Amino acid sequence: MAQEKAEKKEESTANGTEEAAEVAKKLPKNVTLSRIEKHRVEVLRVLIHATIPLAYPPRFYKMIHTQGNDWSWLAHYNNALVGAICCRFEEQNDDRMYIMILGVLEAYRRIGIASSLLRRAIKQAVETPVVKSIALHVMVTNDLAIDFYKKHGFSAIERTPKYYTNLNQDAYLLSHLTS
Amino acid sequence: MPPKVPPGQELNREDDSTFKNMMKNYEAKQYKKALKLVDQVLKNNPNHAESLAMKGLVQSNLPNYNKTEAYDLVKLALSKHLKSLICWHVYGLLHRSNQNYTEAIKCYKQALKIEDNNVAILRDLAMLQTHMRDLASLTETRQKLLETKASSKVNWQMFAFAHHLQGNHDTALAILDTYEKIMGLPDTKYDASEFLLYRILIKFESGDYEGTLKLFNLYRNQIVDWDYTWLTCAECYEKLGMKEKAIETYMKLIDLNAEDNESIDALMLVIADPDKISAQYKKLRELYPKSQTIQKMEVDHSTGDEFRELATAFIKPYIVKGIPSLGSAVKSFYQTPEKSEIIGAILHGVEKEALDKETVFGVPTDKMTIVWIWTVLAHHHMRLGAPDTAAEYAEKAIEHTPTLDALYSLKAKVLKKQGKLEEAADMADTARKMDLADRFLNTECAKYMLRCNKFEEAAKIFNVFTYKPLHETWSNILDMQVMWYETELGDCLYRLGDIENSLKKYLLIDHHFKDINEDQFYFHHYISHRHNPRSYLGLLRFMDTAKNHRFYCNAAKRVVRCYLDIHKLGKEEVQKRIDEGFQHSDAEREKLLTKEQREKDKEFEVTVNYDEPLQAASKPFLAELLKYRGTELDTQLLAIELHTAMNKPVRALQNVKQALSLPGASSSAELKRLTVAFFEAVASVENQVIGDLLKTEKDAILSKFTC
Repeated sequence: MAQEKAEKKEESTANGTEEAAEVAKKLPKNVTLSRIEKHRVEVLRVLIHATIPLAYPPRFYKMIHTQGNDWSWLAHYNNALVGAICCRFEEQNDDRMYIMILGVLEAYRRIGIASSLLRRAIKQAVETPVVKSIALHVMVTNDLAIDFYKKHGFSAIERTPKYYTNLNQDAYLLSHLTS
Repeated sequence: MPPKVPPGQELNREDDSTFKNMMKNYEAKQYKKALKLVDQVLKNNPNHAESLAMKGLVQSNLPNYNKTEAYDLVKLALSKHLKSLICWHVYGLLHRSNQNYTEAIKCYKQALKIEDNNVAILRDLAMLQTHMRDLASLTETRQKLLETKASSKVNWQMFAFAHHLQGNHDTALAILDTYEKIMGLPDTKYDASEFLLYRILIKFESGDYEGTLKLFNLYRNQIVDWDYTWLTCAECYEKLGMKEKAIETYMKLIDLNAEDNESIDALMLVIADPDKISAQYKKLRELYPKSQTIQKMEVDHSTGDEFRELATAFIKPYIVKGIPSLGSAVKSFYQTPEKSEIIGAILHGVEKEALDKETVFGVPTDKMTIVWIWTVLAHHHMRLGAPDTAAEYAEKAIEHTPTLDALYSLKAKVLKKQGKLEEAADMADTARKMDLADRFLNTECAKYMLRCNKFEEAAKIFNVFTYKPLHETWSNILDMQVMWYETELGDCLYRLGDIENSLKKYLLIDHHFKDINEDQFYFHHYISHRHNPRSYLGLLRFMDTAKNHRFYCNAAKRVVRCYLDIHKLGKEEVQKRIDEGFQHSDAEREKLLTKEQREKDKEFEVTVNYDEPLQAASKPFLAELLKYRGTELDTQLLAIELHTAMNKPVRALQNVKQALSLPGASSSAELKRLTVAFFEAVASVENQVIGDLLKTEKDAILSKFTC
């Protein structure tokens, strides 16, 4: 099963348009993806607050807005927002697409929403020539997250000691090449 | 034959043509040009009455005109040429444009004395008489119009219409018959159908039900409005006691529209027997399985085990599909404690199944199903008067899926029921922020703010959707006749103790209803040319009872309450209690308005009658309340209090008796209090006859109370 998935992934990285069909096919039942809407930023804030143990200041949401909608996606279950992925393009870090947030409401986990969101982001990164990789930081003790990203083709390329200063934790930089 | 023109009123040829030119410009609404021309004529003929009058009229159509000046001009004109048709006509038009309709009518009548068949004047007069509902005079005017111009179809129709309005059905029908013989039917199929249906309507209203049915049969190939036809036929059959035919006809109507709850209601009224009704509902449900209305009404009608079965079937698709509106949909099922218990059992059963087995009614749940189950349970417990339990369910739902604005609206409602008004307003604001493009969430939030007296906050929030600057919001509310806001603001100010300002808000609703009544004026001319007298009739009748609307009646109750307070406290005390915060913010708002905006707002000025508060409350407010809400205890309570204060013991006694005849009245502590107060107030009444009457009634009445 894992091998099939890996093979499929190699195919899709080669041909971006097939990826779209793949993404659509693999969406869990009742789930749709969409872009961020200006008049519903508050809902996104509520989602992030409920799924991620870090506080994000208001300028973070302003930035989400102004980045244009190219780097963030929302996942809806029957019209309710249940998951989101928010990325930003970092020229200063070797042209990578950096995942700032990926979260899904607890009641809606384990049905493939996070995977769908991540796949969508990867697809965008692959289709954007200037983007050389897609990356994020995770706590070294977060096995669940590390396994999840590894399944999607990420690997740890760096370890930063005490990256999470408040929690006194080291971080891995997980990365997935896209060009 | 127009009378001789008095000396000094004749114009030479040149001025005469200028005058005629001016009239053309006036009729073409070119008022500035008309003004220039009329001034020209007046330069040469300063005493020309008709020019003076026309000047006043033209000025009244220009912006910033001086009302007194215009009237003065016209009056001056009349003093110079009392028998001028134009002068009287102009005077009438001026009064009309200032809504002095009785005066306008008088002017037109004067004009008619000079030339009794002037069509323009007769038409205007007819409009005014219709507006004032002076039906007898209207009929005369219409007759005169017909005699003057018998070739005009409209004159025939409106003459018949006038007789119909008066209730002279046979005359109206005879006129229409004659009209048809002379003019034939209207050209298009729709117009012809409307003409015939109007005739049928008159026949129906005359009480000749057999005749009505005969006419329907006679015209069946020309009628196009089958909805109205079947409805009226059904009513005829009912009145004639032809039950089976009535049922058959209502079934035809339901076949046209299976969601027509009025026809279904009417059908069940005819059937009458509850078991037979149940059977009919079953039959209807089988015939029209997709009809939500039929299904709902069937559940409403049923009881006991049948209710359990039908309610379950009703609720099932809502739960399985996760439809959020179930909470509202089941509102009517709480008619009796027995039914409420059954619903509770069904809903709790559904919750248990969802949590234990992850199915509902045997169908697997999806991730969101439980949220909507908890939502309907919250509604359920609110309806049972247990908001604390409801709060638990709302909380569970929010914890599960905190990204749904509907859940925060729900929580806000629960908090409101718990009496935590400030928290409710905060919650409503949370909901609002979750979708800034949703106008419903916005106005709900504004309402919640007003409920906890945060009037400035409410205005800020309401302002978001007006797309105008904040200081123009109130002007916008006045202009758009946002009566719910005005009433809520009034309630807010009343809670703050500011009786004067709250009363002013309530009086605005009366003002709006006056404007709405005014708006019908130009329809009198317009509609008469549209060949649908039934619609016109509907408009007139609607306007006659427009104040039945809950906006008006709710405001009227509050107006009476305020005036009673004013009577008790007196002007000085009431003005001491004006809320400074509100007064200040209102003044600040006004400062920012332009002169034009302030002028526009002046149109909505209302005055509090400190001199005769009780009279002001009695007419029209209490009068309208007794007319439209006389069977409500609230109304009678106000009536007792007002009539006691006005020293009208016989009226008050009447109200007491009427109140006691209402269901649940004998256990009303408030009614008892007012009744006792009434008897105390009239204990020392001067009139011996009334005094004796009251003494005999007192014990009998007081013994009826169970509290």
